[in-house]
Amino acid sequence: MSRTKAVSFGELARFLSELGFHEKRTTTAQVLEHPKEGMLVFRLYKSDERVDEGDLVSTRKFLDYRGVLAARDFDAFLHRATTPA
Amino acid sequence: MKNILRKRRTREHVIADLSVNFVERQALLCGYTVERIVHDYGIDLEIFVFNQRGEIQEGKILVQLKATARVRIEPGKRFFSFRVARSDLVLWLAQPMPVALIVYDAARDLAYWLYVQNYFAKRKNFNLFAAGKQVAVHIPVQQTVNPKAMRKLARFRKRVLEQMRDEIHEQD
Repeated sequence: MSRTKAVSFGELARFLSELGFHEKRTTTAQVLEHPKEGMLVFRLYKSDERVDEGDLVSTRKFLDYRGVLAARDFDAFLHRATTPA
Repeated sequence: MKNILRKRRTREHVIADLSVNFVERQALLCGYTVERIVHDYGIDLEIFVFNQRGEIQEGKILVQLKATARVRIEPGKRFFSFRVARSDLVLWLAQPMPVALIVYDAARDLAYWLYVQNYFAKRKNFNLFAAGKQVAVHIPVQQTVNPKAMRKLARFRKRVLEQMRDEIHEQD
């Protein structure tokens, strides 16, 4: 991931739900849980809030290593999400 | 032609790079990986845990690094004091995954760590909203950063995930 992209948490959560993750909320975190691959944990974001660079880095890495989505495909999502139509 | 100022590499730059190198090495010795976070304010590194089969584990350890020429430790003391910005604390305490404040001592080539959320959870009378711009934390001198400490932080990460999983499944 060469540079930070401005993606909202709502966009990221929608994208992850398309990959089979279910969004849940605890008192301290927003969790996207995959039935087989486990949890991605985020701080409490507002839906339109920009996702921190660190959370994009960890999401990309987890999806890639777990074989859910190749890193280049995650980068393509970031590119689409941040490119005006 | 436009004049461009020459840049200089200062001692601070050298110490900062050494601190990153030091922490990365301790994590790598455990088989973990480290990502440098360039643009986020308040977090410098993310550490990812892998099991013995080389499979990535859930969650992460967040690191804020403070590099110093030499940490002042008074003889006979079990802790040293270190000041952090309240604005940093606000960010760290909002993180669900463990945040480790790591202070690197360049003269001794070693570093000390503090599990931030755990430390403030134990300070019963601490009020973040009443705190000044700087907050002093007391870091135990025996908490040096090494592979054993990395594995300990990884266990804290696991405990946080277990608590989260319990909370989620109670909702189901």
